[in-house]
Amino acid sequence: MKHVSLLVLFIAGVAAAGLGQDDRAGERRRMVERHIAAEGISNEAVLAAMRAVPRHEFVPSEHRGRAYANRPLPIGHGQTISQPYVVAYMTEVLELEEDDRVLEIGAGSGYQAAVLAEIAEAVYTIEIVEALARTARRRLERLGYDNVEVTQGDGYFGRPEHAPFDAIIVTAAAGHIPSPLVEQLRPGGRMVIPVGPVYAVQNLILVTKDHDGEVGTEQLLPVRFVPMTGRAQER
Amino acid sequence: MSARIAPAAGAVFLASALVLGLQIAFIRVLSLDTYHHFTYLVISTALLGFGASGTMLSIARGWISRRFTGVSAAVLVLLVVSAAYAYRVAVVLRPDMQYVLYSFAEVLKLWAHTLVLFLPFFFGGAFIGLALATFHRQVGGIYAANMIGSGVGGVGGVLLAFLVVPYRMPAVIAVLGVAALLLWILAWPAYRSGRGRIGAAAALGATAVALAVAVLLPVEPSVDEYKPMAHAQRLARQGDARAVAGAIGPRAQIDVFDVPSMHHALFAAPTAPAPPPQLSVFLDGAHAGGVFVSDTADEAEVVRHTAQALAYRLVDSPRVLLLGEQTGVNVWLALAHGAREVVVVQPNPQIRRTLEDTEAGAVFRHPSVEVVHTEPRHYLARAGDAFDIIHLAEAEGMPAGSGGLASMREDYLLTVEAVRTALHRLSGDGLLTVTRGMQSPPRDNLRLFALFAEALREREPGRRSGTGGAEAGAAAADQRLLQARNYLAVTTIAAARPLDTDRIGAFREAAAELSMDADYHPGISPGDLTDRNRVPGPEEEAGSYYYHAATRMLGDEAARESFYDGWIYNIRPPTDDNPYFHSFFRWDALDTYIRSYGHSWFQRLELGYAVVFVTFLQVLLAALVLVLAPVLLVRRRGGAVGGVGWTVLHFTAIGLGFLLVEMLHIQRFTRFLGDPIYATAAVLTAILVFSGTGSYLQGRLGISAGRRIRIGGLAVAALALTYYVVLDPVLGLAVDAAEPMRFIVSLLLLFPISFVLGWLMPAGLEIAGNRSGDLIPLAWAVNGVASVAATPLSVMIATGAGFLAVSVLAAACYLLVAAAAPRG
Repeated sequence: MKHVSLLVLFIAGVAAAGLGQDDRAGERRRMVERHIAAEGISNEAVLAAMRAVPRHEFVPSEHRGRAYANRPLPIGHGQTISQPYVVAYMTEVLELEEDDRVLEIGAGSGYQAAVLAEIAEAVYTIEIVEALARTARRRLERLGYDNVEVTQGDGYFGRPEHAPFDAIIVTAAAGHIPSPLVEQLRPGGRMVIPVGPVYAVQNLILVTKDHDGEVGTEQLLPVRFVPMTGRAQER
Repeated sequence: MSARIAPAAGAVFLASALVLGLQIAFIRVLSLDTYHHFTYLVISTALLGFGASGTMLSIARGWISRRFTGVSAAVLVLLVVSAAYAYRVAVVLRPDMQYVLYSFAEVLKLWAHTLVLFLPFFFGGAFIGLALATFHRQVGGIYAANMIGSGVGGVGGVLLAFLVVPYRMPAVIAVLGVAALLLWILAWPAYRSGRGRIGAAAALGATAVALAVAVLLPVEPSVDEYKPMAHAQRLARQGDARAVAGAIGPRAQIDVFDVPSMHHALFAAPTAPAPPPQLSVFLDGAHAGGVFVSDTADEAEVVRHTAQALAYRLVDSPRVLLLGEQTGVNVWLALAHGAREVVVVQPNPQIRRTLEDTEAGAVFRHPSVEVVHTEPRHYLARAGDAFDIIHLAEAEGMPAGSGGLASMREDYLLTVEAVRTALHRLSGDGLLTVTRGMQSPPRDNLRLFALFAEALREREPGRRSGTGGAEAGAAAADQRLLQARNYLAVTTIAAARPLDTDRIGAFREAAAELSMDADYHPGISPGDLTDRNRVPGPEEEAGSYYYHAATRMLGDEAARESFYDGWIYNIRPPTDDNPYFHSFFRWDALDTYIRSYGHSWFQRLELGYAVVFVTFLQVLLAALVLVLAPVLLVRRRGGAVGGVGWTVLHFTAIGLGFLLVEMLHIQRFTRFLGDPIYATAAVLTAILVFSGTGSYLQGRLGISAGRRIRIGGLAVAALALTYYVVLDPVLGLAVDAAEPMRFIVSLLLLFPISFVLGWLMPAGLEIAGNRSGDLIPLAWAVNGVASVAATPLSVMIATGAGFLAVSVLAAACYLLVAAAAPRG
């Protein structure tokens, strides 16, 4: 009897989860339409990825109701899941191709990695906080993102064993551009990184390396990687 | 009721010391746990507590007078208990600070949190107000005890911060309340017989037990999870970091962690080598920088690839002055560039002492390095030899953006007068340099360029003989300025004399080697601009906004003014009269903000100003409730109709005026004395103690209270304006004197104005008390509310119109007081 009850509960849970996901697909479409496409993001692959990844799976249960609002949310350990617009914007800036290999610094909840994994061939992501790295790994596995590899450690030195990368995305505020990451960027590759004081306004910087290895930077826009005002990105 | 005045005054003295000490304790603990914004909240909350207590006394006067001994003792008990426990309760109610602006639940938590912190000040204010009302015939003595107790509490709080961790300070300070209760009981015969004796014993026992529990119960440090130190603590818990040193003190709690995953590298180029192993320094939980664990400059190779290195590449074997350097990274920068001598001016000696105990302390022991502990501006003002490089390290760093009340703090290093003084201390080929992170749209670095240009324009020749800089005279600013940026920061340089083509060539070469783009040098044209680090610029012109701004700011006065007027932020050069470098807000640009940024305009606003403004509005609202309620009540009672208008006017004016005068003089004397903490404590104590003395003695002058108010009001007004004009020149004469002499000079100068300031409250209370007992609590309420309003108001006026306007307003308040004083 106990086993039957458990089975019923399990089936009910799966059904509820599936039903919930379908319900929320509509919310995702609206989020993409109102807050991402309408704000100038036009890359179809990015828009499709944003429609596909269930953001509510990446936020703590108490915040799931607000998962598709265009705002960052706390995920514990002093970290946040970025505002959807910022995720889309940073992804678009990378100009990803299907066969690209991407390095992400700061896995957090794993949401950005999932969006990248919808587009690129392989995603390597590093998270310094053990508990977050563990949760992100399990979550991404559960959601079927088998092209993402989550490791726990210091992202400053990247993953030299997997270098070079076609694109590098840093999703935690950095005081400067780490030179080991620049070295691991393949010629012609692009890196996007918020540079500035932690928990304040940072400048989002695009770093490019041309085919001669010359490095250039471009200031894109100010961002805030913690939700001081409920709207992380400011333009 | 007959009571002994001496123990009663002693109780008021101790309660006042408790209240001031508690303010310092709350400021310390909230700065550590949360953010410096809370220091402002604490001051406003404390003053509001005083205002609200007066209102309560007005409303409940009859009820209280029938139960005076019981109520007054109960108020003291509540003061002790709330002082000891408020912080513990407030921690539980603390909102998620990152969400306060968009979650109503978090706003409710913030209100509850503030209310808990408000309680001890409310009870403290209620007790002092009760004492003033009860002893209105000896009000001078009670008010003197209040003022002197406040002064002693301020100094005591600062000293206690060296001995006790912030979390424990409130409970330790609450001990004063038990002593106050004991003295209060001794003052009143009613407590020594029958039920009174039992009640008094119960009150004392309960208070002592509550306090003992508060002192003995463990308190868990609770740094907000979003503060950088909380991140280091998290990593320490998982074995990826360790705490290596620390110190407590009134300036800040210093914590040093070994966090291998934190890589501080100044403003290094993307291709710079990785920085060496380092320790991370946190001041009150905020990241203050890294300290390299190096024994030689060669190990700190990364510093040679930073934006700061630009000036060092233009001077050989320089004698370097580092103003406001904290962790020593810039010392490695200077040594790596062959500096023959480095003088580090550092206001907080505790940082160096703490670092010396770690493996990263070698930098300060280097034979070429001398460390001086004083305020940078004070060091500049003193006589001394010339330097080849003066590096404004204190102004370095990434601006925190449109956030923080830090934007409302005075900065006397970044004023036209300070920069001009620095230029006078340069050698013939000397360079004044500053590097600061970029903001978008640009503001800090534009203002730095404007500041350097203005100082060069205003530079007076030959103030100090023997320096090459002085000989150079006041040539055109456009021949002496350099500016370049990498992807992260902008370096602005002012030269002691006009730059020749060789030096300009060296500058361009160094900028290229450092992956920087030159935005300004003498003779620059659009063809000279490079594009290594792309940043926004005007659509119709070549180059960045920095290039665009530099060319406008070096144009004629009309072009310059037109540029200042047209920029969305206030980037005019700050002066000593308006020393708010970090405040960029412009009222007249508000509509542009809203048009440009749509629904995110508020985030773009300088939040420091917004917080002050919102506080002011809240205070006005509170004032309406807290002042109007007792006014209406007193009018309804009809006993003192004739005195209500005068009471409101007199106590509003002196409440406002006192804080304005206090603020003005803390600013001036802090700069003169060199150490912000000791100086603020000393100046505040001097003003309060001298006011208390004046308060005590004014009743013995043998003249009517009205006449005392007229004389006192006119004297304060005249002195406020006179001090504004003569204080800086007078202090300038003594700036090179030894520290004890400077303290004596400060006390002598503060005495006259403080002494007469102390007349106006007790003389006013004497008049009010003679008219009706209802008027004293009303006066207390009005004075408290006016003091609350004065805090944000003074900051708003000073940032908008400068200290002259604050001085004039203060003088106007006291002229009004004199003019309105009753005759006879």
